Amino acid sequence: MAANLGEIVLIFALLSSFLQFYAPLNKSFSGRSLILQKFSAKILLISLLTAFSCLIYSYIISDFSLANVYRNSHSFKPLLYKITGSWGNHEGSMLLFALIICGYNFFYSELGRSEEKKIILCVQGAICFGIVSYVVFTSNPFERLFPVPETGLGLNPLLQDIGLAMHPPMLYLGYGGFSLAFSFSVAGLWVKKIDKNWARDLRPWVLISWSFLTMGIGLGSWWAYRELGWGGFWFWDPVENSSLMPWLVATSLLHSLVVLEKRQEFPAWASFLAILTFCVGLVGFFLVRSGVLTSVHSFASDPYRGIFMLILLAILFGFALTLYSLRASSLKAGGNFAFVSREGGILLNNVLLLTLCGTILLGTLYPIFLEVLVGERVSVGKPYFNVIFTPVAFLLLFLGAIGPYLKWKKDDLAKLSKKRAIPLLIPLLFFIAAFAGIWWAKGGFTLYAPALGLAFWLLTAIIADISDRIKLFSTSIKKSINKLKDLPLSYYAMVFAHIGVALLAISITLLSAFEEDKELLMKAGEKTELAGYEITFLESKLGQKEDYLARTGKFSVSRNGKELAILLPESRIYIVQGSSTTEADIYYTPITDIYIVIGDKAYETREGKEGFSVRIYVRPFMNLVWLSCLIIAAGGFIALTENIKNRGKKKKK
Amino acid sequence: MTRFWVIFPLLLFIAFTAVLAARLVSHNTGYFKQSPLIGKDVPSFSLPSAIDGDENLDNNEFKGRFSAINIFASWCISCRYEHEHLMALSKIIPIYGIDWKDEKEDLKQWLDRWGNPYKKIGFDKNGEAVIALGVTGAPETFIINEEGKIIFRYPGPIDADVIKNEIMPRITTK
Repeated sequence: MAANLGEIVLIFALLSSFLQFYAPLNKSFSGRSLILQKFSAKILLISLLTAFSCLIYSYIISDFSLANVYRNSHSFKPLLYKITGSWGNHEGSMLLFALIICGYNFFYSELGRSEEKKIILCVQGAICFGIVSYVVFTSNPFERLFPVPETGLGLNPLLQDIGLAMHPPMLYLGYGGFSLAFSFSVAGLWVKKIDKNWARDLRPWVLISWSFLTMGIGLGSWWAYRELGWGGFWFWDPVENSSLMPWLVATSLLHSLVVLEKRQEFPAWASFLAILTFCVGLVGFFLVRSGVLTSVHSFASDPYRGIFMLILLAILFGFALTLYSLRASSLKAGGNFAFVSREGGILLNNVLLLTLCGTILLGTLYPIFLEVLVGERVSVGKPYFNVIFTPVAFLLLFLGAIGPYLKWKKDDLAKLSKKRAIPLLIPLLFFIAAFAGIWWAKGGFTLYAPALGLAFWLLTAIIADISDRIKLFSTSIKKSINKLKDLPLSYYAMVFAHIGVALLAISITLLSAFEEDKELLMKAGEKTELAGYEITFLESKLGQKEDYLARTGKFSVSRNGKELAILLPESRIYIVQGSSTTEADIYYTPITDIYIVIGDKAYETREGKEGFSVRIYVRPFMNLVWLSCLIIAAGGFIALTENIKNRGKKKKK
Repeated sequence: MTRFWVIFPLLLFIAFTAVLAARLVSHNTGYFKQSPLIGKDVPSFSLPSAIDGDENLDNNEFKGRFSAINIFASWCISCRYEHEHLMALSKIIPIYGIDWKDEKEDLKQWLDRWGNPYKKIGFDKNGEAVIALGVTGAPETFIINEEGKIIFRYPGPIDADVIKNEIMPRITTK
């Protein structure tokens, strides 16, 4: 029943999204077209909400007459994972994505501002129509099975995790909102008006999406860290890359929107970035879902889906980029600016971020290009990305400490350094201290030394600027605190986001410099030592839990003879799926994580020893990585608060 | 801004789409079904039978008629998916199973429960035949012609469409 309803409302969604697209194009609707569009947006959202609820309901009651439920669920599954399982598969997650895009569409139609609202909603209608047709025609989650199987195949056990339950919705809240950037850009180019107001109206939507995407990426890597048992948090996997690329482009879009709003500068550039942000996000989707790339994230891949998606991409972005190439030169830019100025700094920031994005895209696609053009098969991995990413990231860290403090239009580096002689000295000292410290710790020059130095350089430059603004030490503490309160929220947003980036760089550097791994065969009763921790394998047990069999190893972790924790890593066999996973157990301390994975029993080794293969990882500063992601996202939310606050003020006037 | 830089993104996007389209189409027209073994004899292997008391399975079986080799295992979920189609195909040509990294007990239960489409099943605990055939994963299916040469490879579960559109045209005499 629910499934039938779900299918019917999807058709409603198709019709209403088409109406939203079509209303302003038909002259006979003129005058009423905006009302009609708002109405369509409402129906569209209601339809998709209903469809999604129907899918969740089918999962809860384990309706195996649905192919999707049969393939991805099982009656024995815990209720929570039955629900989250509904978007833990291709069809369900596409429905969720459509729901989120249509959600943004609805909220924009109700709350959004713009002089070109009709055109923006028209483009949004086209996007929604495209995505909903993709769901209906190639990834229908309500596809039937006959005869009805008695039981389901079960959810991929790796996906039975709370991190996964939250990860895709967060990511989609990011990607989905970028559709508005695209629509704004098309509308602005269409009427040749990309200016201050355009940037002001678009900015909150990009901010909210960007903040969600930041959290989504963080959550994804948190899930990978805990669940995949490799002891790492970023693998340069195509799927991860395809979430990082839109983040980088969106970050540069956010920066260029500030320039456009404040200085009327870079209109063409901003409109291009707005198109690119959504484009890169959808291309990522395409790469992952079409089976063009192979990745650790296995999605069911079907070539027809790929073709449909590619056609959709070609229509949307072919149209937008053609429009761009026709209109870009007629957009009016503001006054001139010198290279050494805030504008120049932001432009440089944009170029660097796009370079990062480009190198990732190249690394991800290089194997495909080579295969199509030469017929050779290669794989591009971590070494490439590390080599390419590091120097650009270094430059970003270095310039990030200067750019934000330059004046608009024109500034003088010599003047800035004179004015900031003392504040500049502090970061420089920190830079040297960090550089020297890690040089000494690693017993020679490694790239960790400049990385840590530059991260501290960025961090202390921010602190130096704050203390300069609130006249710390040159006036009374009380006055300074009052000044601190008076700083605009937008400044706080910038500070938070940049501190987050600096902390992320610091934590990743320290983590890579001081992490330790050990892989060995262990028998119960044996001891080993890693990074000053003593790890004892106490016993192993076999047992059956909810829907899997588990071999649990019991390990004690101690330091200097004092027991700190008992860890119980598991190696699980999921009965229904017949697959096995390793479940790491992690001892979290504020600074260091101790991470143990137990594998299969191995009988024969070269030394003729038997035991369980055990992997132990010591991961310092892991928590700081997650914390910095949160701080970066917080920056976005603070900027959003300011935006909403300002808007309230203007309304009152 | 010069004219070129304004059009540049569009050109780049067209090139990008073209390459991806090329890749998708080559994917569709059987790119991934290629195998260096096509047109060659079945590589030599010899496996004990997975069912105690049955004859061994080796590469000398495949001559004189069309036949199929299917790599499967009781632990493989997609194999369960293609099983009913194998039952159908077994009425047309003999299917030889290669049971990969399996337990005899599990296999017996699997066959008892779902039925046995195989003429013979070789028990490939160490992946001897699987490696010789260059198999990428279970399930995978090969079609062999009357001369004992491999004429078709299909990785992944086969379904009614594959049987109708890919296998049948190849095994009906022209």
